Amino acid sequence: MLTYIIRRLLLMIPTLIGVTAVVFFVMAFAPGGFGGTVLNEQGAQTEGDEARRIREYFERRYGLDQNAVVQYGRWINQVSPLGFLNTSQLTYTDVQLVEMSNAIAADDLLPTLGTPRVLDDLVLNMAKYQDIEPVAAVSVVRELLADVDTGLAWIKELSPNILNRDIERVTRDEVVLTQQRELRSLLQSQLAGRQRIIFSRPAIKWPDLGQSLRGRKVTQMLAQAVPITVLLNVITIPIIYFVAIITGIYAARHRGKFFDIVSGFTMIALWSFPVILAGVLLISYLANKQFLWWFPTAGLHSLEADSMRFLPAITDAGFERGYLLDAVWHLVLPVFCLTYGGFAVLSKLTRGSVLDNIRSDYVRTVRAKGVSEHDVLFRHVMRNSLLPLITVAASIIPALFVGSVIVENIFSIPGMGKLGVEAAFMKDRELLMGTTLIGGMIGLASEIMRDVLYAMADPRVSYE
Amino acid sequence: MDNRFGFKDWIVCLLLVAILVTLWFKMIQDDRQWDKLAKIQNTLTSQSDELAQLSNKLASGIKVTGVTQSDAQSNANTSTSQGTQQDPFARVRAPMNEPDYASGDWLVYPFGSTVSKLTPMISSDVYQSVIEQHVIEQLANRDPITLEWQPMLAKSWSVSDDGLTIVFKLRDNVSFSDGKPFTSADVVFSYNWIMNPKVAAPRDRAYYDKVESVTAVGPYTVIFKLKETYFKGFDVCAGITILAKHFYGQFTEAQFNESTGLLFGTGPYKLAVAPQDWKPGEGKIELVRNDKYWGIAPALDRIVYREILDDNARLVAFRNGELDRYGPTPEQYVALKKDEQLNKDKQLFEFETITGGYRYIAWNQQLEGKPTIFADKRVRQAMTMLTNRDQMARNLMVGLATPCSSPFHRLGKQANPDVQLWPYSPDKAIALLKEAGFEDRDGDGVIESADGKQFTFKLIYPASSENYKQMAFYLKDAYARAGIAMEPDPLEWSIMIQRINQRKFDAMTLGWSGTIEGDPNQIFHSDQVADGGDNYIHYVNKELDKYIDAARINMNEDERMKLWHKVHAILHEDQPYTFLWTTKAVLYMDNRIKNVQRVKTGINELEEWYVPRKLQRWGL
Repeated sequence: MLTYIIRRLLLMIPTLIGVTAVVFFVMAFAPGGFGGTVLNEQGAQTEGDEARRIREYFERRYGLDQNAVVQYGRWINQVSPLGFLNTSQLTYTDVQLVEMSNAIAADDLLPTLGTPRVLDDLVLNMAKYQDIEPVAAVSVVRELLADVDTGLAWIKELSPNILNRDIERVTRDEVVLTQQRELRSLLQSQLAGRQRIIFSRPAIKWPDLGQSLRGRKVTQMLAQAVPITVLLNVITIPIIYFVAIITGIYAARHRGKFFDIVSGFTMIALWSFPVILAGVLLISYLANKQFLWWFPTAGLHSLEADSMRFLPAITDAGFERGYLLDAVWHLVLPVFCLTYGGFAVLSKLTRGSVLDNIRSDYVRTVRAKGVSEHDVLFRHVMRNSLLPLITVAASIIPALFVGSVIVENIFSIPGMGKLGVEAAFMKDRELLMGTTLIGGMIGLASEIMRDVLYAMADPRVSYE
Repeated sequence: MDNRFGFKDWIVCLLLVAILVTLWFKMIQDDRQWDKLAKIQNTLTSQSDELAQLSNKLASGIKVTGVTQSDAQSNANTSTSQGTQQDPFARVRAPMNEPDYASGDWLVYPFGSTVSKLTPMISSDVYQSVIEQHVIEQLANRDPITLEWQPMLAKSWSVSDDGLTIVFKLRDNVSFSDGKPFTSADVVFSYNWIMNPKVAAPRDRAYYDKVESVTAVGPYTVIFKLKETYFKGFDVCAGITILAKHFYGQFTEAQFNESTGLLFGTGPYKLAVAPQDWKPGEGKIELVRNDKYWGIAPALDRIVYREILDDNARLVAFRNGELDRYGPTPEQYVALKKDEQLNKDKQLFEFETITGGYRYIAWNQQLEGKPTIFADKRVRQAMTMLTNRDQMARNLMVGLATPCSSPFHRLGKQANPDVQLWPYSPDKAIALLKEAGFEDRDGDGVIESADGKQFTFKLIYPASSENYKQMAFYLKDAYARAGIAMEPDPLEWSIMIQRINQRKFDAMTLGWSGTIEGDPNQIFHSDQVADGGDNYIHYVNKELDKYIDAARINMNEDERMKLWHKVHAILHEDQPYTFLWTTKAVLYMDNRIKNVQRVKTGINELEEWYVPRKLQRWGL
């Protein structure tokens, strides 16, 4: 069993690479490419030249101007625990930095081209980009700046897409010092935030999901969204299972009777009712002052929730619902929306497999032995009917983390569904890849879990 | 398998029960602690309320002396200088004389999308600026009625004749929300922080590129030096985001770049939690009144921004009174207008703002190096005359639009009052098209040029908007009547941007947002045709360039306005765009909020609003 699990776990790696590669390249080659939407936020009006410079800054910072294959390789290197260091992960000791600053100050040319901080920044970026000692980078920068032609040639090599307009800015003025100053500022902007994998430095490192194009760490964003989605599903899934299994067994026992027909009909009807409409109707009727104002309209907590006690209590001011009850109260409508459609499939499945088993020979034998009907059903039939439910569970568990976009949007719940869909709409590379990776991992893990559960539920299944 | 309930199971069950019981006791204990805390907090709030009242009184006292401390000593070499005669809080103070004026209550303000970052300069969220303006103040503000600059953190300033040097005298009684004083060092720090290449603020950095240096002379004088004369130079300097040196200085650039909630300033409100602890995704953002505010404290205790993403849920919540403000789309507005109950319970504002921007159709004059049909001025004029803007404004925009003739808003001084809108006149348009060589020669209903090229084109517009879609079909119909075959071509936003940047389109429709004094340079100057500029229609008019260039460096407002009027006239004659309309905004406000007024910039600031004592509903 253990070897089987280990083998499956190892097989996950190529599968995950496949999954992420498909998502990555589909997005990368979609019109607009990565970052298209985030970086051109609708309604934002900036002056043309500025807008371009801003876009370029972000493109360099996130490597969006590179070839898609290179970008993917970079991402894989970033999430893989075995890989190479990135320029942004290079750190220098204080001694090295002081040495560098002194070397800059002692230079005859550099201090005339900018303030010490600007120069420090430039030289440090150069040191990182070329992976050389900061002191050595001083002379590299000096050489590039000393001769304007060499400097320009180097910049053109660094970013082949650079606009002529930017190059012209350097040569516009005749005075060499002015040219060098412009060159310095151009070099600075071209090097700022530029990242590169340093193949000479292999390393074992923590996987890093990177930074969203909107400037937050992806892990942080996931850490916030996952608990909310898990909370919703931890409530939803047991309800679905409990109701569906009970009605399924009951319906199977009374096949063709009133309960069977009515429950089957209701559940199919509920299953076919679109969630988006249900959500809107629920809000419009059950959360509306004009009709029944029983539930809140949006969110997971009331505005005053922060100033509530935790447990419900009766105080001088009357009944206070408390933080706990307030949360439950807010969860009623979203949980209802998430559950009602799920009954039908599971209930029909249970009913079917119970029916299969109840007519089999071993059940007749057990009955003949004189075992009570209750024991027949829950000891013998139930266990054998569980297998199809386990199969379905494997497809439900990933949903636990992926969340439901529609419900989350209608009730303004900041869960995983919203995060993932937003990432796809905004073409936010790191966030999208982060959610894909996590979703894929959980999906594959639940497949393994399903197989293990099979073995546990059914002694005939063995992986030895 | 044996299913007996054995000894082991008993132990497990007991353990579970024990854990649950402990948890329960823990919760009860926490609640007791909470009670104590609540009591302490109550006393604290009452104390801070008193403090706020005290400081209000104090502030109004200081104000009086502030006026007498005239700033007549502003030095030579200056042409324009403004003193402290204006009281920046006159409008906040005005409602205080109302009989039902009371401080207290919250304002609940809905957001239609989530805000992921509050940190100034690095946030790209549209709504972030809505919050920031109540927390971080500027050196000077535009008066909402006169649109003139009025002193805020600076008590006076002087601008040199060439507009290159601006000297701000700062107030000496301003403090940040933690009580530390605001000085010139903070202004210098702000500028240096923006220009620091490690800070991920390329947007602000590009904007402040125009500034050569910012230096402090003593604790209350700051000198801005600009690189070149530019009529908006003062706007740039006065609008700098003031970052507190003692607060923002404690973070490294990387910490700042990754931060989410570092919003801290001198403003009348501050974040309810410590800025370092703020996290997005809570569904709401809370601002509380800054007890140490240096000016006149506003009436509302707290502003809560609630993120409600679903349109319907937002409307229902507004009806329920859970929200205090609701901005419907034109389509929703039609339905809501008939809703009696809503109109009874809420106040309705229809208003036009000078910064509201305008909608246009842009005619690309050059495609892949060759001039298009629209390169001919007469064709563009004809297109405008075929567009029934009045009717579209009435039907498509449900009356929430006013046809316009230029990028300059008619409420502003830049607009030329002599320019008359092109009339809706299909006959004249057809005649003009004929003059330009287009008529139906083969009788297929589509007009052709002399060499048989049919007049067909594609109009691109954002696919996500129902309004643009309706407009496209309306236009298709209108142009078809003159024998022009227009094909609507909806595009996803990022693709649309790409197409515009590559200048690969025949015609497109979108909107530009506006500013109080706009600079048409980026859109209509021929310099901006080349890579990166926003003149993506290849519009070149040397005379226009000349006027724009002259106006941009003219610091005399009257002369500059005359130049803008010329620009307006030329744009009107050339019709590089068919200028469609400026839009009106609609806003519903809860009835309990008083003193909500329409001003030239839209609706007055919420610092001026209040809720009478008996109508208050939150935070009692």
